Amino acid sequence: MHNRIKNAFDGIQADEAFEKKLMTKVAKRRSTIKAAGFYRKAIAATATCLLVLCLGLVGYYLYFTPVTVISVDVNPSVELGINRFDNVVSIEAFNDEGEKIVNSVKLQHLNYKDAVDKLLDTTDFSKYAESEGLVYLTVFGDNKESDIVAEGLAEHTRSRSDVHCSHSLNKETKNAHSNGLSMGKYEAYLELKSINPNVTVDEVKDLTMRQIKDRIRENDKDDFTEELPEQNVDRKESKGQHHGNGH
Amino acid sequence: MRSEIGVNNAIKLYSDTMRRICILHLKSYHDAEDICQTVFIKYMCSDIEFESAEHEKAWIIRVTINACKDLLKSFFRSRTVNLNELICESDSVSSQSSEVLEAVLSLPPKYKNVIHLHYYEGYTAPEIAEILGKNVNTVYTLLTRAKKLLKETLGGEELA
Repeated sequence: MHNRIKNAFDGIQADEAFEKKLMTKVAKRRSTIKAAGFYRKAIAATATCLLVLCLGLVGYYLYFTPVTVISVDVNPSVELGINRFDNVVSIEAFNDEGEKIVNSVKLQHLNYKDAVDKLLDTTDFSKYAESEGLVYLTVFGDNKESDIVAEGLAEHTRSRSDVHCSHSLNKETKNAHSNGLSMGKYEAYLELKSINPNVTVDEVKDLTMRQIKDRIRENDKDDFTEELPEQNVDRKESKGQHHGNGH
Repeated sequence: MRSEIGVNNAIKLYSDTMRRICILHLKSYHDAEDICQTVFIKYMCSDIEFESAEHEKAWIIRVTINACKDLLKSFFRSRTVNLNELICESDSVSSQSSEVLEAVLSLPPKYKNVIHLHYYEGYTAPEIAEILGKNVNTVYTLLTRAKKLLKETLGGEELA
């Protein structure tokens, strides 16, 4: 009986044609699977590239977008753009003296405190600071980061008697660049203009910060003498939160 | 993925066994071809490292039986073939063998596997138990009952 069952099953065999058909079908499926694998890998690689690109763009945007501006003004006027990580990401000069200083010192990617120290310690800058007596550091930006930078900078420069540090929230300073002035100098111009409406940007452009501040003081004194109370209100146009040394 | 040569060797080695299992369960040459293709694609894509040829064969048998069961459960399966038609399809089956084959194919599904694996493939009851994932005693019981049923159908000859 054992043999009979064996013989019966022997009748069912996979002939050569069956095997060949199987081999062809499996080989065909192999290429489909391989192609699918290739496409899957290609899609995964593309998705990874896109993700990396997006992350890179977001990272680039986050790093290279200034959220705070520090305007450094004596006679040379220089603006430092500070990102949310407290690093300098842009440097812009607003007059020839500023241009000369910016070209002589590398401030990019430095922490804002180090950058300000480095800038103030350059021979060109200290020369002006000595002759003018005071360096004006004005922090611009109405956000948390700017508050932190303003506080940090005030604390950092507290020991320096030749530095005046302030934080300005004056929104009108956005017109500074279109008038060819740094934001710090433009704010001083606005302060002067609030007392003396006849003053123009061209008049102020070549003045040092010290000279503008002296004019403000002079005009201010005149106003008090002439007793024009409404001009005292105009003087508050600059809503800066002043702190630090100097004035 | 296994190499093309490896898969083609496996086709040459195991397609007979697989075809028998498929015919036992599905009674259709056409379905047997589909099942063999499915199993060999699974084999090609599988990362299992077989310890021996026996291990590989046992894996093939188990996967084939499971594939047949899945197809039988499938709602869309409509191809069924009359036993006589099926036996006639195979030219090499003699009239005496066709009688035995018919008897085996007529057995309830649970007996077919044990009969095939024991009498044709030469597996022992513990080996069959391992392949089918059943208790050894259950396999012994299935074998005894299958022999009894075959004896009744084929006229009382002794099964070795």
